Amino acid sequence: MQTADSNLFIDYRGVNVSYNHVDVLRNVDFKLDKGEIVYLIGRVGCGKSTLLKSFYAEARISEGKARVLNFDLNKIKGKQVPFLRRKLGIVFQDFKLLTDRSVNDNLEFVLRATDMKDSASINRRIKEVLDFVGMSAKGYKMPHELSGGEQQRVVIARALLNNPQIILADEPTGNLDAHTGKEIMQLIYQVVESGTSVVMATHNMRWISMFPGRVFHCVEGKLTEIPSSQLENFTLDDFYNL
Amino acid sequence: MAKSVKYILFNSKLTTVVSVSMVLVLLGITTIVLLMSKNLTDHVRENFIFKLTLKEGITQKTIDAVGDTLRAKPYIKEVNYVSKELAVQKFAEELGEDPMESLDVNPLPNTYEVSLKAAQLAADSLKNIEDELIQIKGITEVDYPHNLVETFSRNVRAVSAVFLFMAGVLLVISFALINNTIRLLIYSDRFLIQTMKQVGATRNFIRKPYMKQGLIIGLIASGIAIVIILLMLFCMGDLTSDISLFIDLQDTTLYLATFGVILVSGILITELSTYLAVNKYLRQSLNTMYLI
Repeated sequence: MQTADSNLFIDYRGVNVSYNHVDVLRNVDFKLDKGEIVYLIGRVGCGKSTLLKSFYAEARISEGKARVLNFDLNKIKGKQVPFLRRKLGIVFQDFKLLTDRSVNDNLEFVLRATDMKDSASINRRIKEVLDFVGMSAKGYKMPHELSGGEQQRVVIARALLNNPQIILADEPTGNLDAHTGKEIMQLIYQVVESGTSVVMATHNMRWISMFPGRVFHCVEGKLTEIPSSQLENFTLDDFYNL
Repeated sequence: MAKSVKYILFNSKLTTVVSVSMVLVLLGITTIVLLMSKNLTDHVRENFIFKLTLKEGITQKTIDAVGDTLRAKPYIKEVNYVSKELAVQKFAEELGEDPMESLDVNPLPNTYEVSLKAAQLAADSLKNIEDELIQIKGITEVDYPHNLVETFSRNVRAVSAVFLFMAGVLLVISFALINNTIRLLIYSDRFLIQTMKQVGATRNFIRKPYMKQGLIIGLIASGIAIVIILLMLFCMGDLTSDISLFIDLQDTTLYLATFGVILVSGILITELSTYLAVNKYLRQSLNTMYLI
């Protein structure tokens, strides 16, 4: 089930996304190409997170045609969902590390869950991603022993483990101070430059000007792309639909 | 040091092991009570005496042949020959005077007193046994306490049914208690399970370590329960000398049956409970998890 264009990673046409049997987003048209960064902005509760959840099959597609990578989300079966998620890297605002094990064990869990069995290869890959996020010296630590910024770095490392084609980031800097948030954004931008696409929900317009990308505005269940020409005039009042 | 001891004592897995082992001790005790009631019933059953009257005037050789035939029967537990002379002697002891003082001829017959194996003492199989025994050459009459055997069999059936029902109820209660304990243990990991799902782990991969944990809890809890039951049996044998009427502490079947029930129930119930609990959280979406 290949998409017509192999560089088209996400293709949503007239999609309704429901959560708990309620349509949160209606008539969504959304495309994501290889190596681009897309921002989702809008007020709290407008449906940004639900759209991200729909990309990894946590929220249901109730209408329209939805494809993510090679998966048809209209027909995806429960058993296929893990295989879709292995092609995605997910970064959460609240980190969601496995709190009962060390950083190394968190990363090892993902690799073993995705069928990597050779311990030497596992250790090598863990070292690579921890080096990339600058956390190689803290692999032995438990998540609760790390600061918020460090935990988010580990989450990015976890998301990168399987060389994902898309990274979905739900307000990744939402719990961090401005300086740490910028460091995390720089990391994410490095990932984009290496050819991975990123869809990020954010409230921070600063990131959009620092790390430019396409911007979608979510208002009352509708998703609208803001043309780059209008982006400079886009005010906070527009952003929050005041 | 004190902190780590406190951590171990109140560790949720240790608490789970202790709770499960206590329920298994209860199951073990029920098994022993069931075995004791069976032993007691068998003991009473095997003490019903069947009196086989021998034909007058047969030779000692024929009497011995009848004895050999009886001993060869698989359902007969014990055979005792009571000669006319022994019978009159017993009679005299019971009466307190010798009946032969007023009689010329000993009127009592030669008899065999037999007891049957407990399993054969169902009322319907007794008729067949009676028919078979009367066919033996040299036996003229088979006499046994019909009414007593029938009443006893009927009562035993009723009591057994009640006991089995109670054992069944206890098994259900044990399952409910262990299931609840295990579910609480898995409940504390429900958000971890959700995260595992989100990073691409399959259900089987997530379930596997929990099943292993369930197996270990089941094995350790069974081990603890077995040790407690062993100590109880040891103390019982030490404190009461009359215990042998109810239970044979040298009988390996007692230990095999009780420990088998504990081990099998311990592993099966913890594994099944773990499977059900993990599946519950695997099926749930993140959103509904906050509603529990």
